[in-house]
Amino acid sequence: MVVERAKILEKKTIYNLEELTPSGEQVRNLYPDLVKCQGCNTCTMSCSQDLNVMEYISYVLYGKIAEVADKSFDCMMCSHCADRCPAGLAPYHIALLCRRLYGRYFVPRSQHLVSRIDEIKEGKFDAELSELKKMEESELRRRYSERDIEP
Amino acid sequence: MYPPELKESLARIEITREKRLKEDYPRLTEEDKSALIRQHHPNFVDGGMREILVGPNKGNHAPDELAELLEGNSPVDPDAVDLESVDYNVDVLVLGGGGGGAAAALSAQENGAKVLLATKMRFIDSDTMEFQGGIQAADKPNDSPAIHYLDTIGGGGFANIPDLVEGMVCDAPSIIQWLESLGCMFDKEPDGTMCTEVGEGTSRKRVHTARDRLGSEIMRNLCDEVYNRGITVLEHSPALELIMDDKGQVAGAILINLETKKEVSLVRAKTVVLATGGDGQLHYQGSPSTDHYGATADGLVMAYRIGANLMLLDAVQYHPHGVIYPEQMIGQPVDEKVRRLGAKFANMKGEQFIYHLETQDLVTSAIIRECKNGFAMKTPKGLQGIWLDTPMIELLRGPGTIQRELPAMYMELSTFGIDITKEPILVYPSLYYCNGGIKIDAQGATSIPNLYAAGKVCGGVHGRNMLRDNILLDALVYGRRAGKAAAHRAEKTKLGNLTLEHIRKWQDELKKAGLEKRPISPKLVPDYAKHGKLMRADWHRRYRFELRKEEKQPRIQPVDIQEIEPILNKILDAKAPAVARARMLSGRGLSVDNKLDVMENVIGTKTCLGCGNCIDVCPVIGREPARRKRTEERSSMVLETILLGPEECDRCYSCVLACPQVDISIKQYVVNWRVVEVMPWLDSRISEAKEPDLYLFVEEALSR
Repeated sequence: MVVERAKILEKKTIYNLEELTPSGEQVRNLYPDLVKCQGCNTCTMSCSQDLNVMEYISYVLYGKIAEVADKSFDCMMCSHCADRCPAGLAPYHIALLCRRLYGRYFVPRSQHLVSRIDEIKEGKFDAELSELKKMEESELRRRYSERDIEP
Repeated sequence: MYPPELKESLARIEITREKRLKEDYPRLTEEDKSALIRQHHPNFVDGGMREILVGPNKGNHAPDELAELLEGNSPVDPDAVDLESVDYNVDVLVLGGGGGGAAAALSAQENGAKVLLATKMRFIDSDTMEFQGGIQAADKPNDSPAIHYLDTIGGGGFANIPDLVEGMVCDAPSIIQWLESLGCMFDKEPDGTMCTEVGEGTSRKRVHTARDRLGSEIMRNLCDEVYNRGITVLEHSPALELIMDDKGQVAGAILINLETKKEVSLVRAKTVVLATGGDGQLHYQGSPSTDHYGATADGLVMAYRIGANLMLLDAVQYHPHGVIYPEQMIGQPVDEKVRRLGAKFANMKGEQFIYHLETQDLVTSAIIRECKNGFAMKTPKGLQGIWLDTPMIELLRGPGTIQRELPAMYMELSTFGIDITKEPILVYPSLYYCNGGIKIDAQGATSIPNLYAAGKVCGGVHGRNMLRDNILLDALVYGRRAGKAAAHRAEKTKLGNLTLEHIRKWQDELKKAGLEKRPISPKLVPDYAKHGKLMRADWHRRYRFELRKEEKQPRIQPVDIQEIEPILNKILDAKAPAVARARMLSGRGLSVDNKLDVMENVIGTKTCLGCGNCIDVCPVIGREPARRKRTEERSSMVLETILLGPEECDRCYSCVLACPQVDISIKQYVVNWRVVEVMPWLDSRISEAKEPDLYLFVEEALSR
């Protein structure tokens, strides 16, 4: 029988992104162990992506979510930092939470996406698409080679 | 750093660079083009493809290695499996843990199904994670799904299935919005407008990016969301075979524990979504591959065996320039952009052999031709490659262009000591994408009842030629659609008795076709006995040529206590010496300043000096001096490790006060709000002790 591997969940907090408030306080509440960081810098030394892990953890302590999102962007979730942390933290999960909060709440949502989705729902492009779908290959080829290309 | 045997060739490239810069290599004529492709392209040369001899796609062409697996025998003995003992009973089983699998699991759960996700490797390991391109979506005012449709179908050589393309282009904007709501950090203008770029074969600026790591940005968010929603994930558990019921529907799968390769578990599921990914690790004709380690066509094999229709298996796509040296990066593609920026190819003699902006298949064929003719360089592993002369970009467009335009490639190669602004890259065509796969309809359903598929395992969306920035879109759109359809289907499904009769039927079919002693498939892990050279070396065996570059930051600024008060309180409340953490909050000099690097950078930073003041003043150690003898080091780290037991710290904060590196305003705070409070407690503690602790400490200090 295959064993469920929930090792990753030992250090990860379960949350619902929709219910969170975007603040440093929120991150610290979800990961209260943050204060156990001893500043030993093992995480930075072990990072496979050459990130300065301890630096972004310091920014989490300060509650600067935008900085954390920026500094930790190249993280590949290899979990080396969490495996070696003497205080038992999982910096990569904390950084992911910050990036998600940043992407969800700090950056304004795209308005042109909303209007385009509405247009598609209203069926604005249906006629054009069904015409293209039925089109003969030769006609399609002509249209394809003659399409105007945005510089 | 390139090995010495390539130095001579490198020197020649240096000398001939000027000449190549001026030289205009002629474009190929139409006849030359078709001759070149017919003679050298891996899809057309003799011996690469053969007919499939058995099964629903009998007579179609497929690469040798894939055909061999499709005609393989099952690893499961139908008589040995006890179908009564079911380990998991779920509504929807998702096989595969990449972008398509995660999207399918999420959307199936949103539609009310109980979901189980099983994956061969770690849940995040996938091609999606490695993908560095972008994602197309027609959401700008000057763009429309119809234009996206035309671009896709034209790029695919008009062999795409129209319904699938329509579904993809219409869902694209809502997929982007969904990702946005999950917290993906797309590149945006300050007002929220998406930054979009021109991509391969697009006629509008439609490619959305997230720096140059869109794939991993999407995958880690999806993965996190799957865990947050409480979906059960089985890692290292590939499927060996699908289970059917007596009504001819798919009814689950047999999983194996990849770590022991013994334990088998049975999943009974009302519907199954296949998202097992591509087949790059089969290394057709010995070519390196851009795919990740798990891409061994498992899904194709399992689906084919129960009679699902496959399509376009012979449309294999090669990336013209994958890295061939260093070994850790074999097969990794260098972005097409590099040629658009002006890098040209050079063979052993330092000569051009093809116009650098020809299409992918022509460049692929030309590089293979040069290697066959003996004008290629040999790597220490015995692989062949051609120079892609990147320093030309800097000469043409000025210094700094490469770091700006190709940051990921620059960074990755520079960890191996190869500076691509000064040295060329050694490249060889790399297996990129097999356009073929399981035939699906617009809802992700295959020709077998209750079996759905999404992602690279499917065929038909991209026709015969995939546009790079559509791959991820395809996986997410059809992942979500298949998950939804599978969940709805599961509501209506009543399963019959489970059976493995299809395996016996398949074995009979093999016998009838005269195929005996077949290899076992699915393969699960790539065959590196055969392709040992192509195996990527361990990434962590890399050399570090430069010390980590420390960014210069403004040094010490006074700490604003108001700002850090909540966190400082938490730190001071903890039952552990607070000195190291108080130092971390000191002075804002966040990067080098807090390290426990005792030897380096002592002056003017918040580094631990190793002076040992914190150890000397600690009353706990004072009561029990033997503890200190465990170590001769005197850093604050030692204090933390000695006092690791529960509730050991007296919380006197003496260590914080004694540390020369903790910010003065933090010390003030500690005295004003903390020490005053605990003084009575300390007093009582001292009066309880037979001898006052302080004397012990002084005695110990004198004896040193």
